[in-house]
Amino acid sequence: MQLKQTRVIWLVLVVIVLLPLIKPLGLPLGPSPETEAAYQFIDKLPSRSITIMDLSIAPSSEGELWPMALAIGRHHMAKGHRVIVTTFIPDGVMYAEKLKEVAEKEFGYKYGVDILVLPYRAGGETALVALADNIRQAYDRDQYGRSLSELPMWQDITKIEDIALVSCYTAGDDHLWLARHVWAKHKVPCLGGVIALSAPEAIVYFQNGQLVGLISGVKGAAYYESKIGKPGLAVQSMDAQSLGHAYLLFLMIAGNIVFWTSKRRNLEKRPAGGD
Amino acid sequence: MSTDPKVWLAALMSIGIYSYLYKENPIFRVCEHLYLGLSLAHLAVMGWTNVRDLGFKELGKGNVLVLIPMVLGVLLFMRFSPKNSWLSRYSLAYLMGVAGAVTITGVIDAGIISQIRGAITPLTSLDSVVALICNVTAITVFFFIIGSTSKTQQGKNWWFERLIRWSSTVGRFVLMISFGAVFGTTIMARLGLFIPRLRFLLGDWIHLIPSVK
Repeated sequence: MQLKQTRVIWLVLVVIVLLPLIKPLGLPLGPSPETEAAYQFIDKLPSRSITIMDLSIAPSSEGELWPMALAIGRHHMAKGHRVIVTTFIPDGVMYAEKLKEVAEKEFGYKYGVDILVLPYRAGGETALVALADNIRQAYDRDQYGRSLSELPMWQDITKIEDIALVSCYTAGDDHLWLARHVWAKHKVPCLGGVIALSAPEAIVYFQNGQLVGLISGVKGAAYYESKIGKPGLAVQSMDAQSLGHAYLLFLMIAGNIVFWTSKRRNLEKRPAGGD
Repeated sequence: MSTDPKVWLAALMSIGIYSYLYKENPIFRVCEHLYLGLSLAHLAVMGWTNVRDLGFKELGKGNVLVLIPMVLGVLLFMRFSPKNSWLSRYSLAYLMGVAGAVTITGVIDAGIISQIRGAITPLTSLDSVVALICNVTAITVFFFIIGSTSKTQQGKNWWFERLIRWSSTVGRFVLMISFGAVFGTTIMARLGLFIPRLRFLLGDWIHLIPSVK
């Protein structure tokens, strides 16, 4: 009986999420001050500023992180910023290469001049510390094995302070590492792109000024996409996400009502003076 | 409908994984094992690339210092030999030491001092008053000694103990609200994974909705 109920719950969820994907409802997006702050900061960076994007994205987090990374990448490119893409997880390499492809095809970016892909480095936080403390020592070759000293963009970077913004897109703790090692030690502005699950923890870093902006989950990505005027993957998902939430909220309330009424009924049925 | 075999493979694998929602079945098992196998293979290749580029190539250039991390890395595999497993402890100790040293320096400043500084704000708005009350009451939930004495053992500080008890009751609600927020964002995150898969199936695979890039 319980298994059947679970299947019904899943089936209804699938239908509820499917319908707005087929026929979008155009539900309004709520305000997102932390995403707005991220947008404003990037928008005000001068053209040709150098930024680092840490794409620590994996297929399991792609749905939430790739749309925001793509939107911010497009914003950087539309403003003429130079972008260094890197990653601290093995799967991130394919997203770094996808972003490079977008830069070259949509914005005519030249590899080595406007965009650069640094290879994956194992070690997580220690690898990021190496990048923050001595970027030139941490990397000597790019993702494709070319010597970085041959690439014009690399000539303008001697230390992390030459970077205008370091942003990360992660299902892990990269945003905390940035606050600890890039902002706290070098005072280089940092921006966090996190999955919705990490948002309650990450938001305090934004409120304390350790992150200049925070994009969390599909909602943050959708807000950013609408800010840059290029609705994409996240905006397309928002109606489905909103209806899915409403359905789950309904299930929680209904579940609680059933729980409390059955508890009361059981108490009433219990014979007086005994268990 | 897509004619790309890669899209078909991805779509069938996605459906295979979701078939678990109906019940455990051999197709799900195949997809699950393929996913794990592919992930591990990718990880192994990336790991080897790192060892090759940062280890062997550097050694070939005459940088003998890289022998230290390489030997430490090999020692980690000694765990598989019951007789020599003690050797792996040196590598683990080194890893723990470096990770601890790197993390602690950052955590104290960014994770503790800055957070405390951020929590101490002038009480000029309703937000900051609520934040102060939530902070103080949530902390008192973890005062396990004060406020734990029974009514019969009440001493001269009974009013203080009562205050702490009252505060920890409020604090429990504050914690529940924050756990609720975390649960809510967990649902958001899970739906955030589910929706793109559906979008892929409807868009890239059967072309029922426009495929956004």
